[in-house]
Amino acid sequence: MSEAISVHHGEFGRAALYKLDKPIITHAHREGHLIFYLGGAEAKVSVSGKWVAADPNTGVAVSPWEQHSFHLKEKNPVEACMCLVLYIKPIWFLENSQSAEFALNFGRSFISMTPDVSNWVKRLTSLLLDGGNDHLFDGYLYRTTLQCFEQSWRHADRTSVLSDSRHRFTDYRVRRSLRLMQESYTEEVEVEWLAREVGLSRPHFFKLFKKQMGITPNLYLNTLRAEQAISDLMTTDKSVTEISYDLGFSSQASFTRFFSSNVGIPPSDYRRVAHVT
Amino acid sequence: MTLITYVTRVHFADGVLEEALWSEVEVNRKTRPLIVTDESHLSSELYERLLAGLPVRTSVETVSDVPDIPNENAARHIAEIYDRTDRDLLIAFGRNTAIDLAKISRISIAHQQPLETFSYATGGSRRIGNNLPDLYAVPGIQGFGSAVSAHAPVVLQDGERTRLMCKKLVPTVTICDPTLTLGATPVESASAGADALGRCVEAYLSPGYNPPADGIALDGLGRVIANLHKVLEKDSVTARRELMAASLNGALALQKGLGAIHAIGCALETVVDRRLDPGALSRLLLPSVLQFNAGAAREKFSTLQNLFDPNGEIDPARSVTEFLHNLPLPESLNEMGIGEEELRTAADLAASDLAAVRSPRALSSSSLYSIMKSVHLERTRVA
Repeated sequence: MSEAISVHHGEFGRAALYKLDKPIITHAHREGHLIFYLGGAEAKVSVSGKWVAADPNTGVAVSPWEQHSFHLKEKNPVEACMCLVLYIKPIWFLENSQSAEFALNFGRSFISMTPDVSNWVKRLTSLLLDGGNDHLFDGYLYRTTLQCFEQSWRHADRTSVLSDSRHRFTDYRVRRSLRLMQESYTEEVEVEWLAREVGLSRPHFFKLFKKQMGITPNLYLNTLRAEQAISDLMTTDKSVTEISYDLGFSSQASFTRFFSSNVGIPPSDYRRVAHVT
Repeated sequence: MTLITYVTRVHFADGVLEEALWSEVEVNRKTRPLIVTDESHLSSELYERLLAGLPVRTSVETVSDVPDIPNENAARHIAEIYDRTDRDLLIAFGRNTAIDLAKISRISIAHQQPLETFSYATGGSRRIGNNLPDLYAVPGIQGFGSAVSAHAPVVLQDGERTRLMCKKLVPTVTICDPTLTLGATPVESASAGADALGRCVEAYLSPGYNPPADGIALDGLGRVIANLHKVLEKDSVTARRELMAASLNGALALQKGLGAIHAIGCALETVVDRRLDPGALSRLLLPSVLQFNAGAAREKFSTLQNLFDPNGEIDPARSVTEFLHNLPLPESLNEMGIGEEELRTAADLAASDLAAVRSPRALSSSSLYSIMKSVHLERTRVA
């Protein structure tokens, strides 16, 4: 079973040490994402439909709202994949991006594990494993992300990034649907209903949403639920069962399944190992 | 960087509205914003985007009763709603009027005293406290005059118009998203371009010693010259971005001081008692203002001349006239509904405005009258 060894929440985002022996289904989140292989079974990540290896030579960068899924390279590996996973808040990108065209993107998904990048990954990993130096966390997370961000843009194909980012947030019907989902994500939301509310047929709405957001309406709803679940786990005393019902799940079991497949580990494990620096 | 921290915290990038708003609201732990916008924006796509950009579980109140010129009663009304509904943030979006109203409302929220107490003209700026609520400004194409500035006009309860000016009035965060201006009408685009041009020229010519502001003004000027007509020909995000950058430059350069066009604009608005399009005014008045100042800032005129005409043969007033010639804006002050008898009163008012003090050549009531009179029935023809 996949497990979390340590999770730290900080000013610019969070970092987690995971042992993953199961895939994580296609999902997306508001945060940017960096995944580094540390040991055990090697893995690969599908980022917007393209495979990127997570192995000793390569890390993975996922831009905010970019859909991705995690897989082990071998089907039944003897050991799990130990990895360092960073979730970078949009504010980091807004404060560090050097372009007025692609404010919220990595330049490419492939991160070469240069000595500099490896060095910062080791420091962050040690910090997460040892604890006790929490005041260093934000600085380490910042520097690790900066190394990867700069590298991703040095080798980027800017035309391709531009054509991707142009599709976002342009149609008012998509915007209206985002608001509707934000208002009702704790209920059963049917894509059919959303499409009707914004005046489109289901296939047209689905296609338009996917084109502009890069993810499907269902993935967007999942993101909202996962975000809220993490926030509730970290900032409230509510039990996992209460959180399940507040988010509209019919049982704690179905919520745990949802959380595990989207975040990688069960909610109770997440709460147990996670702390705010 | 997409985050510009000059004057205030400015996010500038294509499509940045949603994520910047979400991030700022989330990082600063705001949960109960009061949105100030005018009625026309309330049904706009921009409003949908704004709402979609707020974190889930945000409690939103909206005020859309925005007068043409911000007044004390409207500010008090907003303060009352802010207190009664327990808000923790102001978000102003759209036009200058909404952003200006939100600015003065910050004072009404933080202070019980009448706004006259804080008037710039009577030295009241220093009475503005440090406890103003945060204000996030999201300017549309007609919002840049206010989005990063430290001043706002206000009509007091006794009907008198004054100006509040203090760096504490600068919005806490300004979000500039060029995609918000896609689809703007030619009139709106032309007005925004002419307004930016006027601000950049006036800030540059203003006699104060402020090299950073001069640089910003010249950069903005270059961007307007290169992009205004492109925007009118084709609605491309690249040209829109450049024009928005020019508008931002024009607004940032105002740190150096306001000028004759601003003084005339405020005076005319007071006399006719309604909001006038600042871009239309700028387009009409700028050539005459340049002609008036030609002898008083020769070195700067030479720089302007080279910027408009790389051969350096045509004087700036004529270049500006030609550059603005085909814009779909009113041809005269008369066409803007301003009668000749109103010019005299406006000239007296403008002459006493502190904004006019920043002119390279001293402005008097009669010179201001002449400038207005020259474009009362038709635009200035510069030989």
